Amino acid sequence: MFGVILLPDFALQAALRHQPVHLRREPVAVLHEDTAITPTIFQCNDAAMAAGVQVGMTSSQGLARCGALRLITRSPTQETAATEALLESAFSCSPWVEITGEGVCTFELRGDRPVQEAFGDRVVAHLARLDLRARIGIAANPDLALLAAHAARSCLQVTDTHAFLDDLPVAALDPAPALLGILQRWGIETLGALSALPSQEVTRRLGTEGRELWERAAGRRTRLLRLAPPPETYEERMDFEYEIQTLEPLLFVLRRFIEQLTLRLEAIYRVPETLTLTLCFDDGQEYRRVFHIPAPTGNVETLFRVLHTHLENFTAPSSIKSLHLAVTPTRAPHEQFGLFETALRDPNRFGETLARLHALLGPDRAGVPCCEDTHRPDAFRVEAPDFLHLESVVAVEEPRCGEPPVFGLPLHRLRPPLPAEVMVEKQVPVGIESSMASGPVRAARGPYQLAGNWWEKGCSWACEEWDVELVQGGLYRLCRQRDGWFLEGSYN
Amino acid sequence: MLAGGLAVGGMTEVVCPVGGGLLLATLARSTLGRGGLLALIDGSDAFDPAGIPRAALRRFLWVRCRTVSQAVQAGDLVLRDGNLGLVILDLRSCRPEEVRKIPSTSWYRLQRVVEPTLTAFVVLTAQPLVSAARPRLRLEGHLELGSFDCRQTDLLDQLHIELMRGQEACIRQFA
Repeated sequence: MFGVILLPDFALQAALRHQPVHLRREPVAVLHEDTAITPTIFQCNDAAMAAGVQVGMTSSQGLARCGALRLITRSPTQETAATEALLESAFSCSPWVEITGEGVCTFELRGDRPVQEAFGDRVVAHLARLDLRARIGIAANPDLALLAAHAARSCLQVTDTHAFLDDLPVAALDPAPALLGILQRWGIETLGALSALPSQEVTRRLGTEGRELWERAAGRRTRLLRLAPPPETYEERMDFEYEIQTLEPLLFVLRRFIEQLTLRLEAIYRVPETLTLTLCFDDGQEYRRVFHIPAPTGNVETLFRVLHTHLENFTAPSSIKSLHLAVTPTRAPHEQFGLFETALRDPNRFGETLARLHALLGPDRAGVPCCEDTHRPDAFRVEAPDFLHLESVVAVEEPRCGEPPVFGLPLHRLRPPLPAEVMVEKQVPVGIESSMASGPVRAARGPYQLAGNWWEKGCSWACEEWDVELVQGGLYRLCRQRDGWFLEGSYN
Repeated sequence: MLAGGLAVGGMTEVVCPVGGGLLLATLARSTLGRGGLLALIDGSDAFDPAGIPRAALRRFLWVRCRTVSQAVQAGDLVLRDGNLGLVILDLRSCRPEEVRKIPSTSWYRLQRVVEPTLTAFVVLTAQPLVSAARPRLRLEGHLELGSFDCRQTDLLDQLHIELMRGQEACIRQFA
């Protein structure tokens, strides 16, 4: 058995599927791009047809019939995305799939099991969730299935080939105009009448073209499918008719994209792991950002919030002319938490909080601190937290941490260090003067000489540190560098 | 040291003219021991990661703020997140007049945010400043140069905590 999924008015559907519902109900027509001088209407929706617009009219003729007619050009990028969605739906039915034409996919159903009635309805319903109106035909050969798809209201399975074909007009096979004219002059109007003619006589009079038409009319022609590879990219793209200057329309389209992409992934039992957002600006610049989903999920709200949080604080250099969103699929994570572990309860919410913190403070100002492998004072970096992949920790006291016990007091740093006047006697600080702490020194420890990177030209550093206790109380760290003394922080 | 523990779902102010860094290090170690996560909202970007065991840093979210108002906003975000067991807002180095400019409604809002969560919220200050905090504790003691020869755990014994305000009995304990 073969099945055909047909998307009627494919170019129109592809162009309108990301538009708001009320815009889709307005009269819309797609213009043929190839007609450079006088563009003609290629496809139009029911509202336009009800207003008297017909396929083949010029744009001015269409506008004369319907003043509210919205004329749009074909969008190859959106047609590609719609084709991918169609292909994925076909691959959910069978691994043997052919892209037969624009908005038409043929697939082969092998095996002895009969095709269930609900099978086609499920595929139609899935495509409807992707905002694609589909018809499905199921029959014994690809050509018959295509005819069934054209004749179907939603899904049609041909069980009696002759009963189905007999009443169909010859024009349904889309023969050459000359051949159709000959048959009409013979009085052959239906496929039943054509298949009733002797095949050898038809071949003798009309040649191989006639023979082929006769075989199709009799439902006997079969062919091998030109198999298509399964889609490997999951992306949606939109070239805006008008340049976008505010966030709201962008978010509207992005939400639609996420809904569509998660539905497509749902069909193959996957969820998005990363989102790649690309914005193309009017001045030719491009902005690309990859968002890693902490706990991959198919939840539209969660995925949308990731993009929303980022875009809230994003300033575009100029108006946006096109938008592209791609997702990388992965398996949905399944994790069994430990009974005594306090891991992140909602990793995606934490990721969003982190994005908000980065927006508030800057990208390097929220994260996990990591000490650099150097003795240079205040050498650290801030890394992105990875609280999802922490090793299990049993209740530990300090000696069991695997690290030596920590001595002394933690330093409360001044960033940048505060310049200070330091009185020195016999190379030992005896008094300090600064805007934070001043007074005579009761006791001092040092000097702690530190130096490094002297082997790298222009990167060497050196300093001398002292820990001091003031007479009036307070412990401080002093640092002598090439350009003078500094107060590095306090131990209070 | 904190024999009564920290109130989960509550805001605790610890006034620490001395020993605030030790308290922070202790809480970080305690969090690591429990397998929990800690967030430090650093009001003046003064935290030194070298003073905390490296293992504890892996469970440590450091939020480096430039102003007090940024710190309060960041605290609001982290508390609303609800993923972290302990959130510390360190305002010790912030100027008291700047902290006093924070309207009391902001502190009460933070209190309301933390109430339904399983998070213990601690505000470290150099002097009593947070009106909405219950309880308020004071860390006292004397540290000198000789303290550098002692282990941090031993130094804690030299400090003591005094309850300044609020119920002594914290029903749900954190540490």
